[in-house]
Amino acid sequence: MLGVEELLQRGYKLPFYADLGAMPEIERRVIWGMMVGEEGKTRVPILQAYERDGFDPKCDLLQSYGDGWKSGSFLPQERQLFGVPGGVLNDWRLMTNIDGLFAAGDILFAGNCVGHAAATGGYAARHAADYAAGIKETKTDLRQIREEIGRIRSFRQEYPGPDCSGPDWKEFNAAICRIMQNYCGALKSEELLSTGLEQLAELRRHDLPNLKAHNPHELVRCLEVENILTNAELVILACRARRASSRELQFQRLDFPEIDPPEWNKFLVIENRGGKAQSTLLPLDFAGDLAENYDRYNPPSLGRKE
Amino acid sequence: MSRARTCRVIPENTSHRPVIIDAGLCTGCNRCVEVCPADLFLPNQAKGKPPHVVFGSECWYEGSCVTACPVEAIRLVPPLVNRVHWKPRF
Repeated sequence: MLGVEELLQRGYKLPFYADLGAMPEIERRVIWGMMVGEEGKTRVPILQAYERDGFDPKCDLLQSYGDGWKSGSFLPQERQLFGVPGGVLNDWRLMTNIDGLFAAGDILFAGNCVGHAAATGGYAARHAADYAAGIKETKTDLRQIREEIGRIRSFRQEYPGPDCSGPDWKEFNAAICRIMQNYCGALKSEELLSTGLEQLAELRRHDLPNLKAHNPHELVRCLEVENILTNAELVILACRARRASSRELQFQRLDFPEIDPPEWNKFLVIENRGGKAQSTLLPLDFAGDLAENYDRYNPPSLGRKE
Repeated sequence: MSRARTCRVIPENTSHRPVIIDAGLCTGCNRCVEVCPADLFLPNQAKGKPPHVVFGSECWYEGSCVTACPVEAIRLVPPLVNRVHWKPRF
């Protein structure tokens, strides 16, 4: 597909429109009828709603917003958070560093939509089945369960009264976003990143314990924003630890301006060791020979009953 | 014997009402309550009456409530910011 500059040079003018009426009927019915009507979640809010408001795919041109058809546009610093480059470190079984916890889909490094999710999900499930077949039933860890119940209950509160002073999850989420925009934006430096990390720590220390949930929906949102806070901390820790700029990673450190020095052509791993964040570097070929290992870890019998 | 308790449903105060149920058409079958992926609804305590739309701000605007409704009593109202523009070809 041509870029917008190329299209404009060739005489096209913004805004672009989808000209469904110019298509053969069968193609129009595939796009507007089958794809918009039957795939995913667009039948009611798009197809029916537009037609209710008078849109006729045979006779009308539908405006395309921005400079073309795409499902999302990202700033460079946002690009770093979406699929490549980042994810959970896994072994050849798709197991994480937590024994018995397997990962699949977008959480993996270089995740890529539904095909990748389905393939890694099936593969991880077969390894998980194989793992489960090889272990004995363990005793329930009541202490862990009590701690988790305590964490979840700490958010709960009856319907808001005059003593309800803590922020709700939306306010908390907005605060995390603002900190990330201010301190982990396109241009990064040790001072900015450290200040951002301190501000996130302040949110965790001071405001997280006061988050209020008045119903089960808000409780789940509270748990979600706590996860978002942890993710934000991980992102800043990783950005601090990478003391070099990189073109491929769209990563610019003002205090380490050299682009892609060879000693930094590595994966960076952030790990929780005894409550402390530790970073290590892994060579790009840490997973070994791909074909050989794939055969070794992917026998047809794996995870299937005899 | 359990003691009967009266509950009062207080819908969330939202900037937009994503789901409008026509009380005259609704039979209170609660199929929308069952299919909603975001759990927007609570069933009405009175049998045959429309469910309460309680958590409007959680709406995904995917319309499974509309599709599930056997009497076409539900209208999904897309957010104002999602209005798009079209014009005649000629």
